Amino acid sequence: MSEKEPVLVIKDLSVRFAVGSGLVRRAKGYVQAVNSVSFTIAKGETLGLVGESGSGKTTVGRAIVRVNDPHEGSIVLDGHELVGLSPSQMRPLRRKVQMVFQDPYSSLDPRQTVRQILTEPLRTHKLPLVNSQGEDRISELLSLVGLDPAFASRYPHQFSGGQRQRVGIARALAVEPDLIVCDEPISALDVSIQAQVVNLLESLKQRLGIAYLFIAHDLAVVRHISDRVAVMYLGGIVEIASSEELYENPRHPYTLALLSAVPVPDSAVEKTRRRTILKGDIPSPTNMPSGCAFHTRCPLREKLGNPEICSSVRPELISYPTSKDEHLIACHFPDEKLINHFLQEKDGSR
Amino acid sequence: MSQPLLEVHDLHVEFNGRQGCVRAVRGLTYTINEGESMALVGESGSGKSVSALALLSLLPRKSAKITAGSVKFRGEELVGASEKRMRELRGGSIAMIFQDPLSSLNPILTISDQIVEQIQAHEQAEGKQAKERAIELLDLVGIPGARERAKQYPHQLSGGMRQRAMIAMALSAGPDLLLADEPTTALDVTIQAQILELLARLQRDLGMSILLITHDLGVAAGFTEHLTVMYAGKAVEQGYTSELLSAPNHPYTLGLLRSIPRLDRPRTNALIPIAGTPPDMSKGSAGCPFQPRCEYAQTKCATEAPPFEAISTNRYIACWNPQHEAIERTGATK
Repeated sequence: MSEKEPVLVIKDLSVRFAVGSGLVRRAKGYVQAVNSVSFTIAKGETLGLVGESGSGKTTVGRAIVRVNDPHEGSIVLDGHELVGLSPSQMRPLRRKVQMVFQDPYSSLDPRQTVRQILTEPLRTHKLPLVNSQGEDRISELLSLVGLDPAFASRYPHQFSGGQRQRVGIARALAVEPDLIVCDEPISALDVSIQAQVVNLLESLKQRLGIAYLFIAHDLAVVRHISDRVAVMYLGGIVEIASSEELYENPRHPYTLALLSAVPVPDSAVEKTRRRTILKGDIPSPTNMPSGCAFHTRCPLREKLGNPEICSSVRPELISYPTSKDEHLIACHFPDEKLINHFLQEKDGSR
Repeated sequence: MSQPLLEVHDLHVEFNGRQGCVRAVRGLTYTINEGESMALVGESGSGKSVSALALLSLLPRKSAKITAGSVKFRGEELVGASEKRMRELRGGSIAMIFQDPLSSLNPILTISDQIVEQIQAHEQAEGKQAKERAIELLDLVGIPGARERAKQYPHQLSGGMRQRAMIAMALSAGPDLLLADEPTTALDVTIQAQILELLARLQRDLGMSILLITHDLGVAAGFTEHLTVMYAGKAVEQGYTSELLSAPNHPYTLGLLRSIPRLDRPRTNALIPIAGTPPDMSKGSAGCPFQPRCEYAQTKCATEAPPFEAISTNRYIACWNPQHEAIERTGATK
């Protein structure tokens, strides 16, 4: 995967938000929402970004489309550095990256028809309203996302949630981007509709060669759609690997706990599986734990007798030497034997 | 042990508003025995929450009405019961917890005050005694430092802690039945695991029955013995959770199971979605409500609604053309 040309290269990205600031007041402090995150997405690749609420996954996505300005680091899209660009310099590059939002109800203007919604990005980027064959682009876009071109004159409220999400996807596709940031694109949809949208995103990727940053909390959907997956915890990436490798061979104790917490619709499996239940809540990013951000809840650290290094030194994201695929982990104890031992312990306790 | 606790029979609920009449529940039948748990699974608009609210007469009185059916709790008919009697039952023998603990807790009262209020609504208890009970309950639901936490306000607690506080409140009168409406949907998956474990422990230790309303088949699988699948206001399939999920007979249940990616199965190439969209509940349907989306539909399905009947031991289904294609078990991965 790494030989392929990257569409997006993120390096040491940090995003922070001021706390307690007002129009005239100075900020009292900062919340470090994203803390030194690095990853790449190859052309036509899907990178899944998972994590719990507050992990910073949405902030990463929003930094790429420059809704949130990064505090530090670099975002290189198709060879262009985005950090530090003025809005007018950014405008032509916005064509290359588009976003699909979670809520298909609030992300479409209720007073615009679908035609107006889809025409706006074309106008903004001075793109033709007809394609090379002289056909209407709006009709083409609607057919592409599986909607009847006759729907162009309708308003968003006349559509169901799944259809609205298709309109949102068509809007993102209008300017022919290389990368689409999908922020929880299916979590607001009914279960029976989710699969339709997932299949649509996959077929568009195959037909148009688009890359996705697929941000979601549903680990099963992320495994299904992603080529590679990054797991975030409290603003940092703790593990990143190919989808198969990560789900079959998770190495970071947080990834293990996360995967074991996902319920599966099979009573026999549910009753017998090994489950690591994490204690406590995700700490507040205003009060970030020292050292490894996960150390306050880490079951492995507890098993190891609370080594001092976990609470004092932040682990770097480093390549795991024995795995066949690229597999990066941010843990002081990424030893396979240790993890296996940890798994067996859990077995015994069950 | 297997005395029926709650018997719901052919329940119908209607809403009348400016938009006309919405028949939200169109025939729901189930029984929960003492100490048992059942999941009510369905998509949004399937009527699962409305049916639970109807049990406790919690629906808006002006617009909503139970038009038919019966709800019996320990043999006592609740449809048409007096408001006084319902008040005794609510939070007493039947307690309820909701999806969003932040909006169901009072923001200007401390956690302790809210639990005390609940305790005193159902029994004579002095302030001090009730406060101690509140702390015991918070301890029971696994809130660390319960004595200190009791003095805090809802906004000072995390989502998981709030849901625990809600559960403590629900347990205050020692209910026989707990209605849990999407209790973990607003929570992160690691916190969801904590709350489900807590509910399972409480059910076991206190011998409560639980009606769990969820859209997540995985949550139902791990937590409940019985399962009722709802579609468009009706029960479409009912049985033991484990059997129903491994061998569904109704095309809708089968479709749901096929359309979700699963961590316990190898990765598949494409998901098989259910075509179309859920029906508009302000309109009626002559035949089976799932017929327009059903790949196994026959001519009869469009005109005649299938009855909800037993097709085998412990399996009830509303379908003219039940399927017997087992969900393949390709062995669990990690």
